[in-house]
This record gives sequence, structure tokens and C-alpha cells, in this order.
Amino acid sequence: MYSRKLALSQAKKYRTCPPPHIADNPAHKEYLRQHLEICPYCSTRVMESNRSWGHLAKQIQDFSPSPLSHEKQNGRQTGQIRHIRDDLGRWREGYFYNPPLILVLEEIMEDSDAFLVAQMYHDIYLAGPGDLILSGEQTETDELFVECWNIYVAEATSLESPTGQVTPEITGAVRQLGQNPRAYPDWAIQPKPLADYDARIYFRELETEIGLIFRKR
Amino acid sequence: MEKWLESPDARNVLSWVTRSVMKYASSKNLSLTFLRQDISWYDANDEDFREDVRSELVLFILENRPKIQNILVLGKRNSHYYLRRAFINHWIEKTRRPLMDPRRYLHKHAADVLRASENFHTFVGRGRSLGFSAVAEHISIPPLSAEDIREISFPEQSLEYEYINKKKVLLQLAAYFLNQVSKMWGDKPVGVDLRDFISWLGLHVSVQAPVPLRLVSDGKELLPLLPDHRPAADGICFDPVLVKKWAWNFANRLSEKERAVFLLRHGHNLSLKDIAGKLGYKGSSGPKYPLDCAERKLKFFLCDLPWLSPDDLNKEAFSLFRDMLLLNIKNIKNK
Repeated sequence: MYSRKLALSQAKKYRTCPPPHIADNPAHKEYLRQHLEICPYCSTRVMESNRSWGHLAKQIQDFSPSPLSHEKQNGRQTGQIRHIRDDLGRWREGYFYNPPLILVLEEIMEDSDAFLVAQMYHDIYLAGPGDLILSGEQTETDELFVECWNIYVAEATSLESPTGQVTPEITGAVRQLGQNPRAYPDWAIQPKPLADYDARIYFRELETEIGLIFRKR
Repeated sequence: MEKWLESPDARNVLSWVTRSVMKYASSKNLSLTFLRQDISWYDANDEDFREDVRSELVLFILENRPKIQNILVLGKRNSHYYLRRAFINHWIEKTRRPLMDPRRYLHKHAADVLRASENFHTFVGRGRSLGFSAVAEHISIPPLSAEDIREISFPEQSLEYEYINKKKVLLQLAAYFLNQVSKMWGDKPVGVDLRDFISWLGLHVSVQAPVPLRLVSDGKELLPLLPDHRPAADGICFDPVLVKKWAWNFANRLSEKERAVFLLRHGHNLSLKDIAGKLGYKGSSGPKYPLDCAERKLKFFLCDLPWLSPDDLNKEAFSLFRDMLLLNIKNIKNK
């Protein structure tokens, strides 16, 4: 059995601990020292093991889904699943904020350099009311969920190449859930309502913070 | 066939299939009772495991000679893949018996009972696993977390494996479980994954395989299948080194202002008015903002830490954390 609390710990690490290529970079030494002073998960020993896993991480990256075809990239951008550029990850108050995956909802007409996007996450145990869980077939990548309550404007130039694509029906459902977190379409998986001390309450705090950092200023 | 088994070609096929089946058995947690062994038997020696799997494989080939002969001896393409699949199926089939692999047997038995029942609707859910619901028109839900499953109390008096494995009892428990999950979703009709139902049963009734006969000291009786209600070690004990480290981490997480206000409020029990006076704020609302920030950070910091988060709070661990936190704040302040 998998616990939500464990999923939350993983999410905190995934979102706010430096990945090996940052932890290994001497230019980040001082930031890393500050991080180790405040992070309950990272310690010298963990960082060492991160280094040894660095090689494996690189291999996994090589096997990760390739960007969509050129034809798809140049087509309609609404519905594309993209990462915010890796080099935009940044330090803040001792934490390293890793760029999230997003779903492009709309090209903004008045500003050709910006998209309306919804933030996404991969561990569906952390999905709550108003989140839309999508299967691997629906995303053309993996099982993910869209945080329909965490929608913001991101710069077009801050996005990586698309790694997945969803149908207009799904982007429509995301917009609907953004307005009304109960408006699930018939086909959707419905997450459990939030309870007291629910790990997902804290997860949402974390995700809101991530959104605030990577949105267009 | 016997001649073929001695050939170098057969040795290669047997080694490959053995290795591949071992990997599969470990990743899918197949019951080792198939090999008439307890898991601890193999802890120290992987070689014994390999040998036991290999000899079971040879036995399987000999027992199924007519079927397997044509494929192996004639060297048909992909024959080793066929043998691997057939042997894994044989392993699973052999362990789907009440006392060989109780959990797997219970899963299969529950699936059969639910499929045959007119009171339940069954369907294929995520990951091709079986799901069940009370009505055909139900909402899909994600897999239940450990917290969700623990929240559902057990309604029956008897916690014996043989008792819950009866058709009538299984159906009653399935209906109860479905009803409780439905309540969690605001009384909506839900479809639940059979694996979640079995996990819940496993919390209250032992579904672990008993120690095989020849490993029981007197060799006469099987150990009874009773749930293990001893609390887990980390429920009673905590790691003080880790707790102290976290107190140090959190003291560093606060800003200078937050540390000062936090220490006076929680270390010296001063009112906001007195804190304002001590720290030179104009009014009692002055220290309120940094105090709120510090408390919010504390809540977020502790929310997923063992022994310190509200849902599994260990009072002793929390006292240690509190004392060390206040001490660390004082030390940082005095530096």
C-alpha cells in the first residue's frame, strides 16, 4: 500500500531539492550548503548517492519520450504537454525550485509570446478535487494529472519541446474544472474529497508556490 | 527428452529461463511456497534459490514432456520464451491454493465470487485489474492510499482466514467495503479496485503464507493463519538523531525576525503585546506577521515527517523536537 504522506515527501523532494547536475556543480556550492542546512531529506550521504545515481539518471533521460514530431510541434499548440525549460530552475530561500510540466490551454492573442497553461504532476495519489487524471493514452506519455485550479500565463520561450498532446475535449474539461471543481466529465476519474490533515492540502501549497515562481512576470 | 536435457543447448535454455523466471518472481512477489521454502531461507544464498528454481523447471519439463518436447527438441524459434511463460503460469497456478499463497488465493476466490454474484457489477479497471461496484453506472476513482484503507474499520468479529474466505462472508465484506468507500466520496456510487479490497482484508486478517511444514520445529503442525497485531517498531520508537537533525534544519529555515518572535512566543510564553515591547514593534500586530509565517512554515515542514506530523504524532518525539528547536534558535541568536 502506498501512502499519501510518502507521496508528499517525494513531491517536496522532486520540486524543491537540487537535481544531481546542480548539486554537483561547484558554482552552486554555497547554495547547496544553505540547502543542506534546512532540508530534512538531503544530507551529505544522500548527495553522495545522488552523484552515483547521476549516470543512471542520464541514461533514463536518454530513454525518456522523445519530443513530438516536427509536424506536431508546428501545429496547433493548444493541448501540448511541455516542460518549463530546465535552465529556468532556480534557488530561493535555500530551496532549488525545479521547473514543472505544464499543459498549454490557450495561445494568448494580445501577447504572441505567452500561453495560458495548467500545471501538471505525475503521482496521482496526490490528485484532489478539481484535478483531472489522465491515462498514458490520453497524454501520449504517461499517467499524469492536470491541476485545473493552478492555471497561469507562461512565456512561450520558457517552454521545452512538447512531449505529449491531449485532445480539445480534455483541454475543454480542464477549463470547465477550473471554473467548477465538481464539473467532471463522465469519463473522468474523480479524486477523493480533501479531509483534515490531508497531505494533498500541503501538496497544493507547494504547487501554488511552484506556479508563482514559473509564471510570466 | 532426457538426452536433450543433458545437451549444451538445453543448459543454455535452462540457464536463461531460470534467470528470467527468478527476476520475474522477485519483481511480482511470486510465492516461494512453490519451492516449498520460506523467504528467509534464501536471504543469504542466491545460489540455492537458482538451484531450486532450476530443478523445479526440469521437473516441470519432464512432467509435461508431451507438450514441451516438440517445441524444445525441435528447436522452434522463441522456444525459451514459451518455456518461460509456461513455467511462470505453472508457478502461479501451483500457489493459488489456500495454504500455498493465501493472498493470491483470496484474490482469485474473491474475483470468482464477485463475478458470479448478481449483487455486484464487475469491470476491468486501471492496469487491467478487476474492479467491482454496486451498479453499472458508477464513477471511476483512483487507487486508494494506505491512509484511505486504514480509515475503514473491520466489521466482523472473526479475523480468521478460513472464515473470511467463505463466499457469503466475502460478499458481505465486499458490500461493506464498497459502502464505506462510497461514503468517502460523498455517497456517490463508486467502482473500487479488487486489489484495494484485498489490501484492506490483509490489514485485519493474515494473508501471509504459513511457514512450510518442514521448517516448523516439530514438523507436525502448520502455523495458524492469524493476523499479526503487534504494532510496527517505528510506531513505538523514533529516531532521536533524525528528530534532532530536523530541529536544526527548521531553526535554519526561519529568518532572523521569525526566530526572535518564535522563541519569545513558544519558548518564553510571552503575549504578542510583550513580544512587541521586547523587540521594539509599535503595537502587538507587529510581531504577528513573522509569527504567522514561522508557524505556517513549521506546519508545512512537519506535514510529512514521521513521528512529527499530526496523523502519527509521537509525543516524546515532538517534545524532543520542540526542545531542540528552541535550543537551536537560542544558539543561532547568540552566535
